[in-house]
Amino acid sequence: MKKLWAAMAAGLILAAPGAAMAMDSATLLENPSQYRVIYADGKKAVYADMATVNAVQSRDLHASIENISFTMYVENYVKNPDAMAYQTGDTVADIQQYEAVAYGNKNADRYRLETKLTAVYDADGREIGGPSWKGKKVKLDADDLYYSLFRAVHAPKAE
Amino acid sequence: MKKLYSLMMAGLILAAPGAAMAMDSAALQADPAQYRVIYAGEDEVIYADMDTVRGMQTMDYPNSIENMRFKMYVESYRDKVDAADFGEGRLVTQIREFDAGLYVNKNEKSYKLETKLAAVYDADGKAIESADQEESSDALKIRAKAKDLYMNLYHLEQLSLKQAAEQAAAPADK
Repeated sequence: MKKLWAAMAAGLILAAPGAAMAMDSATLLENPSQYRVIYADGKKAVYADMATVNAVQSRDLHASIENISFTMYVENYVKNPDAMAYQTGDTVADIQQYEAVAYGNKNADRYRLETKLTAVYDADGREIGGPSWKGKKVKLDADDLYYSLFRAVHAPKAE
Repeated sequence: MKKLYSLMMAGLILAAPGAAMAMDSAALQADPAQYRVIYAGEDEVIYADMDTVRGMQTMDYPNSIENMRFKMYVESYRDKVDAADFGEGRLVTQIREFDAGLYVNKNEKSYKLETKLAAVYDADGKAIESADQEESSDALKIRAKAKDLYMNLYHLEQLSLKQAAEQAAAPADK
């Protein structure tokens, strides 16, 4: 039994670095170089965590195919906030975290996005759901974010 | 005549610090803390220069009216692109610089955006046409709505206020 507990503890320690970190609004906003905005409108802001980006390209001239995997955070805003919601800062409904892959065929100007929900947080980073969350998941069009994602991935790194 | 030229030169020198700085895509991408993305989509990306944001609000509770002024840059993407456009950095066709005003009545949920075109650059920062408002109505068109911009700018404003409060509360260094 003792051995079993020891093995479980070791497993937990090994698993910890890969575990999802909670995410909150302040962290997303305070680190704009790491969390790049790749889509934004009046309903949501979509961030790519640049520390998690893995990009692979075809070897032809101009790398016509490029697939980019990354952790994506979608900050959903409250629908039609009133003056009191602004005053109290209650304008973020939730933050959805996804494992995402954007597939780009640059010659054909065609893009596809695959996402897998991994966690849902409130604005302060408290987890309110996991992969099987029953709430409304965000719908995103790859065309809307591929250019910005590509540019963020290939932007010169800050000194 | 000589005096006239001297006066003109002096005027130019005095005017220079207030003149618009050219803007290019690399500069907008390189400093995401100063140039914050407040709208991004398939056709354009809009940045607010956070050094220029000035906001004021009414003193009622909760502050129901808020007006903001800021320098806004709109990057337009090419309509149809191919792999060479990606590879050679030709995704952006132009950068428009606006003096923008956002007028928000939070109780009535009304959002209004006023813009004045100040300059137009290519992706490398070269001025490409006159900033004459009357010259082309297309030059003034942006896809984003006032509410799109305000929702994102509001969050950045809240962050600035939070950081200022934390700075004020922190004990002074000895």
